[in-house]
Amino acid sequence: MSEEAIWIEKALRGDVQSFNRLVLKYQDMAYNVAYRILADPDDAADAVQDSFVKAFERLHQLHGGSFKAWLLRIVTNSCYDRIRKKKRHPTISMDTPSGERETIQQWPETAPGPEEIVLQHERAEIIQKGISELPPDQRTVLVLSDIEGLSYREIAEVTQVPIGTVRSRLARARAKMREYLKERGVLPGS
Amino acid sequence: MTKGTDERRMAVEELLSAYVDGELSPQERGRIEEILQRDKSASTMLMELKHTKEAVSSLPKMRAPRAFAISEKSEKRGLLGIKAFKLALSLAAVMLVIVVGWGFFTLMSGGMSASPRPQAVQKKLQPAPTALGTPQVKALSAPKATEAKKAKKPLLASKGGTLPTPTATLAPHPSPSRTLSKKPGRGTAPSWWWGAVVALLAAMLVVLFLTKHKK
Repeated sequence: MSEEAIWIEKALRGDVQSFNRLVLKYQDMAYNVAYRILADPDDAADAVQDSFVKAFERLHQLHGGSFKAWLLRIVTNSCYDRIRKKKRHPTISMDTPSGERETIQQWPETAPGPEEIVLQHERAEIIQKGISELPPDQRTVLVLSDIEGLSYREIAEVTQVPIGTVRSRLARARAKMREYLKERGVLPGS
Repeated sequence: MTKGTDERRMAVEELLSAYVDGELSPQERGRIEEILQRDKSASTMLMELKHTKEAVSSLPKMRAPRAFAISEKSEKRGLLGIKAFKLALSLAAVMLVIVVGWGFFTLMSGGMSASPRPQAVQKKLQPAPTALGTPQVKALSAPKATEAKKAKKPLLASKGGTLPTPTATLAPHPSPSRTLSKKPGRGTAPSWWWGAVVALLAAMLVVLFLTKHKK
């Protein structure tokens, strides 16, 4: 029995500490996915917190499958809920734009120089904006594939759609991203 | 560009995208490699798709801004909170059903007790076997013109010296319920009942509002 399976077994008996080991293992991945889908740090943090609470409450529904895929399903569903809610009640944030916060959090001091940091930051912003403009289903597939490195089978498990649908959604997402990045001179030779 | 060309282009792009990920079957891979050898635009598209994938993959990995660990206390509170909320909602619903049901029962039974019971009315209206010209018959023989027409036969019969039948006496008699209806409680609910219904409805609205704006 793997270490993860033991934690799940204990968590199923109500051991919160064992569940928190799973949280520690997957929280960065969950947050990264939520952040790339929602493009907002606060929304992403709330979505992840909700997802872990839901995961603990519904752990009995995990029937021996992959915990990672199951958790990502909860996270992506939580993100979809927030996107839907935002569409219904659009709000204007009075906080610092997310991109600015990303600069502070993401670029380490070991980066070559301020000019390159700025360039990298601008490039990352364009890419993130391109992702945010995709329809939610294509966005999710692109994030799971190209950012998290999941296989088509794993993505199909997370999104609960056939592998063929994953493949076509990903192709459409990449086609749109390709055009978007080309127009903005992000792709080499463009 | 025609629709067919667009579809073919998209099909090739889908194959190329899966080719970049190494997710093609051997047959599909053979097919796309063949296309790549003879179609320069397909090769360009493949390069661009590879660069697109690299660009997206190059985005920095975001780290969780805080620990999302669940504390035993807050988790219990959370679960208990949900249970308490559900319990309160169920109790409110049960109370509403009881109050509405009780009020309805009161209204119905009040109305029923106020309405004349057939036997009692019969008894009350049953004329005593008396001779003609008794006050009871006199009272009954003074209806409105239309009623008098309807009651013609019995009146004539009474003239002939026979006793009026109970049905004949019932028709022109003023409704006995009119006097009974003045009894308290008929057709109206007690004021506290309406208060309780309004309070419960208000409570339900508050619960609904809280449910909607919980997050």
